[in-house]
Amino acid sequence: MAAPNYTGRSRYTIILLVLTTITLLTLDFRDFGPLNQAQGVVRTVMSPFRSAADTVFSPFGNGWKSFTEYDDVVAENEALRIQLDDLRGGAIRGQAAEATLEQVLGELDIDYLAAVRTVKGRVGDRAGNFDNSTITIGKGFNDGIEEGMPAVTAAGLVGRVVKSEADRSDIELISDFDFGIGVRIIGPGDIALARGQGRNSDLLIEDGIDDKSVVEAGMLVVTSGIEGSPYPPDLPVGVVTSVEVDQAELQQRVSIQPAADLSRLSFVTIILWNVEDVD
Amino acid sequence: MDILRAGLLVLTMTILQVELFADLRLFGVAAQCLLALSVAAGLTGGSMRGAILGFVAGLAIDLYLATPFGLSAFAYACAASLAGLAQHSLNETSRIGRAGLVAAGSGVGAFIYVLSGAALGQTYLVNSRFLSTLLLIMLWNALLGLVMVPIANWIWDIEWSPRRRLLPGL
Repeated sequence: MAAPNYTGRSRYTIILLVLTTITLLTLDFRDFGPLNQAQGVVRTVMSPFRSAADTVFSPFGNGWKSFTEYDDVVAENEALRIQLDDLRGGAIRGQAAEATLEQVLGELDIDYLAAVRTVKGRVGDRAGNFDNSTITIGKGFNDGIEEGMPAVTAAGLVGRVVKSEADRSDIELISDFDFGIGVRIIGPGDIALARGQGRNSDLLIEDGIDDKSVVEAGMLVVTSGIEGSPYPPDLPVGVVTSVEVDQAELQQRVSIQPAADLSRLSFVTIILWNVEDVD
Repeated sequence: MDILRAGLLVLTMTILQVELFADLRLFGVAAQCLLALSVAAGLTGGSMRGAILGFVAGLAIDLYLATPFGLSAFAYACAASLAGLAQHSLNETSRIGRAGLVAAGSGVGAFIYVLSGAALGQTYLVNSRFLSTLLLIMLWNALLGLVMVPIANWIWDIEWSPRRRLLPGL
């Protein structure tokens, strides 16, 4: 095949591609419905091919992981054994302490979410390489998941659903820079806004807690659940790791380590809870 | 039939990326086969054809990434287009050399992806692992380059030989 001269045409083609990209990015940033729907349709069309490919290729992926992550698996196994022993011992102590715990929780006015419906979803593998602040699970609005619903693990809050399709949902992690969440510090009872500081970083409360309040490392932090909050009250968020007093502002800066391990999420639970239902 | 071949390949590579390569990670980094294909397409088919294929391939993988839709399309199209410019200065390149070019082009593509993403507010893309991730992508894609260049030649219906000119007449 002879090489045609594309010099003139290629310039216009590339300009056209750049303009198309800008249009797509703009529409995406504006959360343009038809574009999201079109993406959803294409993903749905592709899903049978993906399922077939998953069946064929998953043994290779598993084999590779067992080869490259063998040391991690052994270390994790060891850590889990130790944790299991601790839990066995804790269970015995826990029975004795249960009555006391119930009394304390009652005093703190903590309301468990036992009656709330939940959906558990497996976290999908990342297709890309660069860390992002969103994870994907293989459950969507067919399972009752809607945008805004909170995602948790047994340890605590993980994030919220930002996009829901038929069999897929995107969850923004609490570590994202754009993520803000109303929290209450158990003990002093202060309510403030905690913000994400990026992956593997603590959440940060920059203002809202005056210097007179007694906040200490180790205190538990839960969702505030104040009126209009997109999260139900008393979901564990994390533990206070450090407190700095800003003498000029007479405020305290509080760092919070998320309770859930955001770097190793295999399954998350979506709480089928919507603030509009409550209002 | 360039369009049919290209479409079929992009579809196949997208599924391979999501279902196979995403699992084969070295130090947490996976090969980016669609980026390798885009660069190889630019090298063998020239700037314009490479940019178009890169754009479509980028859109395909954007469907499965959390970054803004169109970001990969832009980065892949740029990388393929730049690879197409390099094509004109190359008459004879060995198979290994072409794999190296695919690696370099992939590095450029990933760099553009991260920088443009950061410019669009996705600042988390630039982190302490950025350079090591970039190098590992280049390493993976150098390996893929050995296969992607003949595949790209097949898209454009160019007869393949390990030591022949990328396009006849150049």
